[in-house]
Amino acid sequence: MADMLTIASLSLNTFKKALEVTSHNVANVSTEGYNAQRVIIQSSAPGNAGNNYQGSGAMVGGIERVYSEALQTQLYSSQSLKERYETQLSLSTQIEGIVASNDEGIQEFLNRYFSSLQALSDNPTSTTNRQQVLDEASSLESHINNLTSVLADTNYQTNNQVSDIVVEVNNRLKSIQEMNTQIDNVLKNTQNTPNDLLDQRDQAILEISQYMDIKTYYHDNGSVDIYAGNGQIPLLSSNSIMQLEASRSEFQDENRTEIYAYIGDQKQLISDKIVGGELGGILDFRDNMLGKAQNDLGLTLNGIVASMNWQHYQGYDMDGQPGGDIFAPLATSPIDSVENTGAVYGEDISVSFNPNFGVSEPPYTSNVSGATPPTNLDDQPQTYGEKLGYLDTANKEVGNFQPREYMLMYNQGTDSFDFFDYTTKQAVVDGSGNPIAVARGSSANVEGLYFDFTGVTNVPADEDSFLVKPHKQILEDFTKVISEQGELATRGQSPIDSNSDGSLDDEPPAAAAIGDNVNIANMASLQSAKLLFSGVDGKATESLLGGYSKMAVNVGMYVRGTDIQYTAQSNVHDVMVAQRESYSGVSLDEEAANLVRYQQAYEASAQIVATVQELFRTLLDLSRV
Amino acid sequence: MRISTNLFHSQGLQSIQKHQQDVLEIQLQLSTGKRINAPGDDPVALNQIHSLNRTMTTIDQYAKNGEFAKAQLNLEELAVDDSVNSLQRARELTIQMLNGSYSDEDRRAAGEEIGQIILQVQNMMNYRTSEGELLFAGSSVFAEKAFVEDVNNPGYYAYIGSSNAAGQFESDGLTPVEDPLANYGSRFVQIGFDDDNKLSPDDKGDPSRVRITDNGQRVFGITTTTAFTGTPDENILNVLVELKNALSNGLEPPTGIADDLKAGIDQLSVVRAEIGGRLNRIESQFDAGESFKLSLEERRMGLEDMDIVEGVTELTKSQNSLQMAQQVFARVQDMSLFNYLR
Repeated sequence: MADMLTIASLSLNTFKKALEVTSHNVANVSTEGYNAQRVIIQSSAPGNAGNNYQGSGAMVGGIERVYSEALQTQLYSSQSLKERYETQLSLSTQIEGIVASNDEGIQEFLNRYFSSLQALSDNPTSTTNRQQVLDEASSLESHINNLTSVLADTNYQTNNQVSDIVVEVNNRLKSIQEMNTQIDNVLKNTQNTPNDLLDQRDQAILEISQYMDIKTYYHDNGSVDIYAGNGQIPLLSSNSIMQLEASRSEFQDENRTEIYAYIGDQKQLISDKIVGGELGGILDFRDNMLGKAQNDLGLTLNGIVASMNWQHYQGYDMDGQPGGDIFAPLATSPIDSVENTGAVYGEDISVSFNPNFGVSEPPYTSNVSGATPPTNLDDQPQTYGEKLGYLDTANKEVGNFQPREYMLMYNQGTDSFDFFDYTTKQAVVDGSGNPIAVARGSSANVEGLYFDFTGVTNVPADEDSFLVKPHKQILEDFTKVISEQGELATRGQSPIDSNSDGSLDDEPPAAAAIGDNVNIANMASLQSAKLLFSGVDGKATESLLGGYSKMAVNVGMYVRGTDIQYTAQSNVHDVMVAQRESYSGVSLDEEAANLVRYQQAYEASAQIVATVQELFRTLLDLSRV
Repeated sequence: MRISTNLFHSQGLQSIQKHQQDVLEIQLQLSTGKRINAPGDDPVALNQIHSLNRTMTTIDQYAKNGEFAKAQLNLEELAVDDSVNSLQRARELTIQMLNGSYSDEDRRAAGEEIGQIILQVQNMMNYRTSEGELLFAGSSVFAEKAFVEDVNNPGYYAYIGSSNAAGQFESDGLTPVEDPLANYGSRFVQIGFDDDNKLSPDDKGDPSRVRITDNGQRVFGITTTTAFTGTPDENILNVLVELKNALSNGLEPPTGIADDLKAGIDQLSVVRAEIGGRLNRIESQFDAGESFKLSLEERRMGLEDMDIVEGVTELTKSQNSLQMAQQVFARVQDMSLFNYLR
């Protein structure tokens, strides 16, 4: 009968434990990352009682998590994808309204500028109309400046976000490392599994997966390894941390924060390997939306600046002087890589718009060229026909613009600079598919831009690199430089045909009468003229404003695509959460039922004790009689 | 399958949020009246909307250009009209004075009237717009006069583009009056879409542009039969001068004058008809632009604007769904087995 009492007390203990675990579940119903726990109740070993085996009650076999590793790792990956698109969406909708809003955007300012040119062409001598052109050019400039500073702020903000997240990830890694140690200790010294510690560690890993895409490997001994970049970059392996680092890119002055990892003491750029989580979202946004929008917009602006200036060079102002610059022409230099070892620096190279370099480089300084042929590059060409030819070349070069950032890498073998697209890291190729290279000490037009290496007298080290972003640069440098309304070159070439051969092409460049509007009418017509994005046939396909629309459409496509991806990924994530919740989550109703069940079992066990006591009493009562 | 309490909660919340999002979106669309409020709403339509808007703004600008050209041409028409009337009167007088029954005195009196007509016509030939631009000096709109006194053939008048204007200076004593550029140049104003978007210095014009200036020699110059002293410009003013000289001396109008005046009137009538033609062209371009714009606007509205009826229906639908979700949430949150364990 003593056995009965043992069984009773054992089972009291067991159900007390079960009730405790149930309470623990109820208490943690709202705890993030908590997995429901279950008591394993098992019958204790049966003993030999004469001829038969008799059970000896029940006992707690352990407390285990209702946990599925597969569900948990799927959750990590769905979480990081969802976070990525969410971040992308919130950043891109923020920028969408600024660079590509439907009303009162750049389009509006450009339209007003062109309208003022049209009005001036109706009445080219009107000082009011002339002033209006200058005013509209100024408002365009200030709008672009505002926009540029907002974009620069966004860029700054993304840099900060990248650094902050890297700090967070490193912190999480550290705490996971500590938890790994604790878990290891517990498992070594006891037979219990530290359920709540495991939950906390999974939660920390889940938080990392919010920041970036990771892969996890759970080992049988309880420790976990974490890898980034699709399993290629160890972050935590054999419980030692490989910290991430956020620092400036190789081209320090471009002010772009990249992510580096140390793999075997080697600092490695891993930004392009991160495709998930907030980091993945920020990095994708930075390259494919922010950077692209800036380059697309900059290309349009470069088109406006170049074509406006060049058409303006053709005309003559109120005083009969040839037209100068309306907007500051593009003039920039590449920035150096920190890894460069040669004695050649970015400022030795210059990039500008100079379609007829070495032949005719306006703005023209003199009205009519004195010497024949002209000796200075800024002399008026000998004939009007030649001048028109140069303008044609300029407009053709505008059509060759590509929204690209160029990385120029010195090639010792050929003593020339090879051209690479900085974003794709692919070689820039010419029309027939051959990689473009320009010899040191020479210069050339590449994709509409004039790359001048004539200042490079020293020899750079092999693979020294220089980075130039001509289209982003014009966003920052966009300035109206014409200040006097009288300087607007409204009139064009004199219509006098001195040798009456029916063509003006052989006439020397000369100004028409003051009321002439040919040049300003041609400037106004640039609004509808197709100038940008030449096709294979060399014919431009987009007008200047069309270039802007193209940028806006690209931005819209990105937002739309992101939105669709976000909806899809958050649905996937919801399913994963639902699966995990239905497997591991706490259901209060279930716990209530368990509570009732265990409580009844506990009461029944107590009843056994009472029964034993009664049996004893019966026995004692018998002996007393 | 276990339904965890958290899932219950979060799913209810999610569906409320989703419906809230829908309501917000329709609210924005209804309040702006636009289906597309950001490029991401419909990037493909955005491209079309942009190009439609561009075309419409350009048409508006062409309409404005047309208005300006019309004002300028009306002024020119007025000046030409006035000159025609003056020439008519001069011709009447000439024919009258050819009749032998008039005395020398009568002819001298008529000469006085012709003198007045000369002033009037001269005034019209040197007419300036409100902007102070000469109407009949080609592109040399800021010259002091389009027709100056001829120092090479005293008594006559010369167009500033003609070599007869050589040898004299404007009032500043520096600028030569003779300006060969005044023989060229015509300001074209754009009133429609141009195929090549180009204007040349010696442009002959194309249907998209309308000429709004003229050079004086072309308007007032004629091939005369009148015998002049020396070689003055052949223009109606000089014919009138010759007429006045004869009449003031009591002589009959020289032969050829009546014919020349007739030729002058014909010439000006042709110019007037041309101006009328250009005004018509502006008008019809404007009408074409407006009706083109109407159909563009219709397309833009179809792409960009919100169908209000559909929007309101959608709003009501989302509102109902939101309310439903909220009610369901409140109900479901109330359900717990613990409520029954007392």
